[in-house]
Amino acid sequence: MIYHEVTKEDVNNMLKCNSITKKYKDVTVVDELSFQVKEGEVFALLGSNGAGKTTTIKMILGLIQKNGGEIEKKQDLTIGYSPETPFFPPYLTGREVLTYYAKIQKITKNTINAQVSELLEMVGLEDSKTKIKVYSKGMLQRLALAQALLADPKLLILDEPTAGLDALGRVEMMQLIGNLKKQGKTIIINSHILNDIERVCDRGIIMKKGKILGTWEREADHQGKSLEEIFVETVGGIG
Amino acid sequence: MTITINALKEKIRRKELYVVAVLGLLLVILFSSGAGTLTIDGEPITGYGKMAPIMIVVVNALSGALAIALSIRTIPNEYERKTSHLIWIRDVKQWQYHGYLSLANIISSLIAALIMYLGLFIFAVIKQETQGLYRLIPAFFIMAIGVCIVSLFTSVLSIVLPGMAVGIISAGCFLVGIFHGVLEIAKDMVGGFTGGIISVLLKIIPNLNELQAQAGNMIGGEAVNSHEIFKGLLIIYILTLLFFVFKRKEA
Repeated sequence: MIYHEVTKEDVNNMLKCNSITKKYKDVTVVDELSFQVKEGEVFALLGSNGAGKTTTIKMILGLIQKNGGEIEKKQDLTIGYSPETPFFPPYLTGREVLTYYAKIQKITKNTINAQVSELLEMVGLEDSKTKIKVYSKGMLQRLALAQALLADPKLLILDEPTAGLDALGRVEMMQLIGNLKKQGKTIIINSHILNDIERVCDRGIIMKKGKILGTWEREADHQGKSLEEIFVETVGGIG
Repeated sequence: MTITINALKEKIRRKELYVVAVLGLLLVILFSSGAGTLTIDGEPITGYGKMAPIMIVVVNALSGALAIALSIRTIPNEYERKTSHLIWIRDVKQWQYHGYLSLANIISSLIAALIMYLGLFIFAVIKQETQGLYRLIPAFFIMAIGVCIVSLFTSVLSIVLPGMAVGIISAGCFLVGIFHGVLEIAKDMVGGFTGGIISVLLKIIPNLNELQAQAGNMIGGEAVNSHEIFKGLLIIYILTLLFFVFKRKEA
């Protein structure tokens, strides 16, 4: 049996990844990755395509099995997840989608309606008659965020929440995330859109080929450098 | 049940259920309308008593093929669209998830079979076979056991195998199942290694032909062998247990 010494820092941790590794045959996609996410912070997984960000998220969620390492979660941790490319049946409305997932999540019947209405209002999708098939990419992402918020999870994991959105869609999504942050929600965001990250995140790790190359903290002294500049420097330049 | 209802809604919306089943129904009606005459040993088969057991063979064969077509993609689609991610994270166990989706497959396969079976009802009404009409209901339930077996088997395989392999294995097993009687004779005639292989296949693949024969017996007012029905139900039970064995490693 493995015993862990519980430190003051651990108590504040929502999630701790210790040397997690994922291999597909001989290719190591995530290589002994370690990081921790504290309660109430917005944490970013940064990296170019193929850096291993989504794989890391999937390991945390238990959607794929890891080949090594440990993931420690705070006791009774509930997680909400918004995928990068959400698929919802096109013939349903936003309300029907949320009701469907609420029922699967076994949310008590008498609270489903109120909770669904509240979430739809929060993400600006109150119109109950519009079918998913006419939703824009931005509306789909906001609906994905709403389903992730069902039953008020303690940790929210957002995989590329602004991917494929136009400028206005991005602004709307970042405002929503900003509001959640104000409410004290712990969030992990996986993104390669650095401006978005810089706007809402507190801390983050910069990944390349499954490894951590650097870290970023909002409060740290970056000597006037933007996150974009730090990122490019860390991953070894453009190209 | 929420997952089952949603999967069913999707099948109904996509209209695949109706299109194929109505085509089957048209085929059954055409077969029984006298537009073409079926003859055995030069003798035309037109009466209800002779025609109904033959029609049940046709309906059974079409229902089985439809059950495979309706069941083959439901589970893989969920994983391809990654809908499975949003289900797995909600603490739904794999056997429950796959079970609910397979239940949708079974229900849609039974609806399709029932639509085609309506051809038999129409035939009975045309021939003014009141007694026969009454027997068609329990006969459908007997036939439904075979449809459930085919749908469940295809669904279970689709959890772990690619679509093409599932299609080939399910269709192969289905053909062995409905041609059990013919293969029994072939086994003795061929003998040797091939005979041995046929013998093994006949042992492991359920005798759908026998179930079909019991449905025919029910329609014809003859004695029904309940042993075959219980055997069919036992196979359904065993296939259901496979949901605990066949699992996906990743969502």
